[in-house]
Amino acid sequence: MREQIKCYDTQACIRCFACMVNCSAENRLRLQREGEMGIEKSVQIPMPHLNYLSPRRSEIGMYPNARQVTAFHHCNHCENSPCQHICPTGAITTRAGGEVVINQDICIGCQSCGDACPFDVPKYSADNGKAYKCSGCYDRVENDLKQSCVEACPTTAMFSGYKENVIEEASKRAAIYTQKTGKKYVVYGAESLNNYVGTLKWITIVEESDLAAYQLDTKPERTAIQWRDYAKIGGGALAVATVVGTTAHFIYWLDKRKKKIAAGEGDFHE
Amino acid sequence: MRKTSRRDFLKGTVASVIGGSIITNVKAEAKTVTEADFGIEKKVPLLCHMCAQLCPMIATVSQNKVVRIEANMDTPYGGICGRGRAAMGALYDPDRIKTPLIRIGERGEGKFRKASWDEVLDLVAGKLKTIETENDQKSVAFLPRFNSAPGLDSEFFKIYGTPNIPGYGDTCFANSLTVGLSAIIGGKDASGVPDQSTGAISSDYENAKFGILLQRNPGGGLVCHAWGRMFGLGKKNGMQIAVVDPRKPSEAGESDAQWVPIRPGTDAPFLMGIMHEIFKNRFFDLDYLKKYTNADMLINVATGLPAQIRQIEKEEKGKSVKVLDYLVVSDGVVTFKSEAKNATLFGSFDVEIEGVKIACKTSLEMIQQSVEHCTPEWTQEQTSIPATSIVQLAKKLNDTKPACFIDRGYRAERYASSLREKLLITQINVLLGTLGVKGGVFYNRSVKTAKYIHVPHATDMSIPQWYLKNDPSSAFMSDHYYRRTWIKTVLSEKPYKQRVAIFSGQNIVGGSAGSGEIIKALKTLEMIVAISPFLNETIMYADIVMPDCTFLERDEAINTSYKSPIPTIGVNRKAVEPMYDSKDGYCIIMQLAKRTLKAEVFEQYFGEFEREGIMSLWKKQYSKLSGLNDAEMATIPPLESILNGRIWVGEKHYGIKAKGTPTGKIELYSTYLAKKRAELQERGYDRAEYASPLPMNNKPYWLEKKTKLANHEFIPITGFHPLGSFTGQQTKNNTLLQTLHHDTNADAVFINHQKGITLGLKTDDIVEIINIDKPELVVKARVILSEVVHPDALFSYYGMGAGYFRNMTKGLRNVSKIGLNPNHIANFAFNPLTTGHSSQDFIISIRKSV
Repeated sequence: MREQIKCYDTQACIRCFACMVNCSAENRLRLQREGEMGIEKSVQIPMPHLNYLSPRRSEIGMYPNARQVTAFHHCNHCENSPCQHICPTGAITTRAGGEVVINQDICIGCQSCGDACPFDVPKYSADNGKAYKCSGCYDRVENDLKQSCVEACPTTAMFSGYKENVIEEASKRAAIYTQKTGKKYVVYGAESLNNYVGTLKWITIVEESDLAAYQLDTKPERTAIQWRDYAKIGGGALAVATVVGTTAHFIYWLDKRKKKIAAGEGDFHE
Repeated sequence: MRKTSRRDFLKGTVASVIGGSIITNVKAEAKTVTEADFGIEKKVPLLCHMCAQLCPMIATVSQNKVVRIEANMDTPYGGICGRGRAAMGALYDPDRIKTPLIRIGERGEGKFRKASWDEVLDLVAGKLKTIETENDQKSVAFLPRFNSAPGLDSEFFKIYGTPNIPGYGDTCFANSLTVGLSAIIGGKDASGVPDQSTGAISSDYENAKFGILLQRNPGGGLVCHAWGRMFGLGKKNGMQIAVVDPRKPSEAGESDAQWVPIRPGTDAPFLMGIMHEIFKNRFFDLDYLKKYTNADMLINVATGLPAQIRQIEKEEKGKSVKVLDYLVVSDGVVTFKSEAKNATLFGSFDVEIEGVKIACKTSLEMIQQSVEHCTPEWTQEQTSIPATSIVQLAKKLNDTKPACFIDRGYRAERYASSLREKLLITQINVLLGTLGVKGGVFYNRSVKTAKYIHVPHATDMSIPQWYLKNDPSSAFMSDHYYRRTWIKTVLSEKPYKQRVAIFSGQNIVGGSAGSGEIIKALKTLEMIVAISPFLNETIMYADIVMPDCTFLERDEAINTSYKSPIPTIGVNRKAVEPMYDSKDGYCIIMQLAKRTLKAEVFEQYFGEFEREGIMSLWKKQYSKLSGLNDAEMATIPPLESILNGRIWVGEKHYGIKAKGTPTGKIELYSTYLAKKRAELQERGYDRAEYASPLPMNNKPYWLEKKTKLANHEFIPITGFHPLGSFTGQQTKNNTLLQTLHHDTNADAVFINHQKGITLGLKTDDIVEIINIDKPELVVKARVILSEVVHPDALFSYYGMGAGYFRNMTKGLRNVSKIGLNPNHIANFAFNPLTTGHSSQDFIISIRKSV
């Protein structure tokens, strides 16, 4: 499993929100797979905590030199993942593919991760006392599918892949935008921001002077947290069942295989 | 049995640090996976009906439920927006209409009782038969939209004997967008009006260097396939955009999109200002104008008609076609165009025709002179756009031409001046030489399928045919899209009385300006039938409600009408069985036909469908494809392949040509308009100048009423919410979208921040909104003070507010109980000539609600 990262391109985005809707829908499908709630029921309940990707809108400037900016609020899957370090039960781990994930069976709902996160990401659901955030769709990625937000994007404003390829494409786009608009575009999160978070595994192509407008913090910190003693409890991570192989996994495998078979017949393009 | 889960999966991988690979252990645990978990999973091709654009997509069905929606990427323009991704939320909407209903309260009250299908079908068929015995079928109107049975439904009503199938387009694109294009490039004859479909042209976003967007943003707006995708790829290629709009849409770009705020309804003077700069600086493309247009045509200054014309025959693609030949000046000599070598584009000439001296000018000269007064300063005065911006935008068009465009826009019917705006857009694109050229504006291509049912000719004159003939203010109306003119007929009984309306997916009350008058008209009908999966304003007035299923629950005719550069073939298949007691549209129409028509007539038209089902429709449609070249025909796959989800696509062509104008040229000076204006003047029509072939500052109605708005007055402008669709509950009541609707203030109204402060308002205040002409209709809405709205405009997302006639919101859990729907309080006004609704062309007044 090689590390994969995602990139959001503010320039190619048409703000259709397909990524956000698909994220929410995919999380409902996961509920069905887990046997918790069927899809028919789950799309009848708002469940905002399942929207791992949300718009945060603000206005910049004054009329008539004004514009609205839609910041994408989501987990950045930090290299140094402060949420993981602070989690007292070891419920948060970084997977081989680079996704920082919360294991809800171990999560005790203490919300420390929310305190540690400089991006204000983990959402707490009062309904079941657990913290939620983007899982990087590791279940999809590990089965060679794109993350649901990436898969949803109609304009390639969201793309993903191996780290070096994504950074290469992002840098290329930023250079084109810089040349065509005469304003400097940068790739936020490709370089280490600081020791607290390191590099990000969800990077953003953005005009440099708009970093703040898009709420992309170049010095993400939680000062109080950094002084706190990280209580890492290894036991939590090990206190697990040994069941392996899942329905979800199997469905993805099957899905992929069916597509390949279909492609072989020349009737269905991938 | 133990259920496995993603969380177990997670645990598994933690364990795998110790225990090894997960994959190898799948088999060992396979016993925990039941067949129902994956064995019946299937992929079903759909054409998205969350709006009306039918973007190709694919449903994943697991355990007989649609669990995921994806784009069908089997086309170069594959891609669906957030509405399509939320189709499950519409399918499983608990507020769907679940059984047939019969009204028990007053019309509008929304009180119904449950009924059986037999009962409602017999009631409707019985009424239709009674009317037939009275030989009054023309008094029945069928109003279809996208929740219907394409290929069968309108056909049934025509066979039954009514000529009146009023489409919804007059509250959308008809007929300004159509005539604004086809008066200049030509089109097929629709009861005397040239007609290009609304998908005739696209801006070449992918290859453009610069474009001006007017009244539309292709991003979060509709038509993801192909426009949204093309637009996003264009942005990725570095296309620069200027948005001329009273409100800045984020969808067109946030960091890098120039916003030029404009006073609502003044796009025509803005475009005339641009045209002035084009002439002043000779930014036009002289070679293009010479080669492809009638810029050289000599016009009789007194009449505005061509100085002289004659009909000649011309070879075109091996066929002989008749075109109008016209006078030009060539090397100083007046001659017919067909004999001219070097026609002059500018100049005034006295021409002797049949012994009479006539003052003439070339058409380009006349167009130039008609915008001579439209200086940047004049334009600023009209539009509130700074003179410097006019100069800068015109220069940028010149610097990037021909890889630039002024976008054609859509949902054109907004102001009395809408037709003029569309004409000017086409004329400027022609002047710059961008029409038909890579990076500019080009013709979409499409393929046609064979007709399944050939209906008999109507014996009665249809309502639009009567208006086209008798009412000069309807001279350019569509003979297909006329639902508000139909309302006029219901109220006036001209040309004849209307007795029964059958709405199939049309929400005429919510979707058309002047809901008050529309309701008044509906209340006079003998029977109102509504076929719809969801409640809407119109359902509240229905006597009989039939729940048809959503598009996810039915097979449909093959579709080939796309706003795409390339011919495209796709089909919508049934993903799951119809839910509750709903039925698919074909089933409903077949049942009505069976109960209404004589047995032999039913057999003649519907017998095959009854025996073989929709396969017979598909086979017939696919048996003859037209509009393609030989190379394309060679790639047509077997029908089964299309039915299995393949999207067939053809080639993209650029090319500069007219599409059936009288002269065979791109008519920068429209001979159709020249002729019509002369006729309208003769008939004494007071707005004949709205038909002028020359640029004119035709005013919107609101500017005729007041040149300056009071501080508390606004023009109610609208735009599509990226997750909203007209007035439909498939998006509005969709729980999957609710959080995002909330995050984006979908139900609010937005006004200019500074102006709001002077009114003593702050964000989240509740305001009362009235149309100053209809003060009795008071609407409440939450206001947001915004820096991205023009001071004269009040913006709301189209169809997202509850509006005034909001009885139906009681049955819809996610629909806001407040908010503006401008249609509800709008005047029952018609745009001159095109008869489109003046949806934003009135003045509203707001005050803080206490």
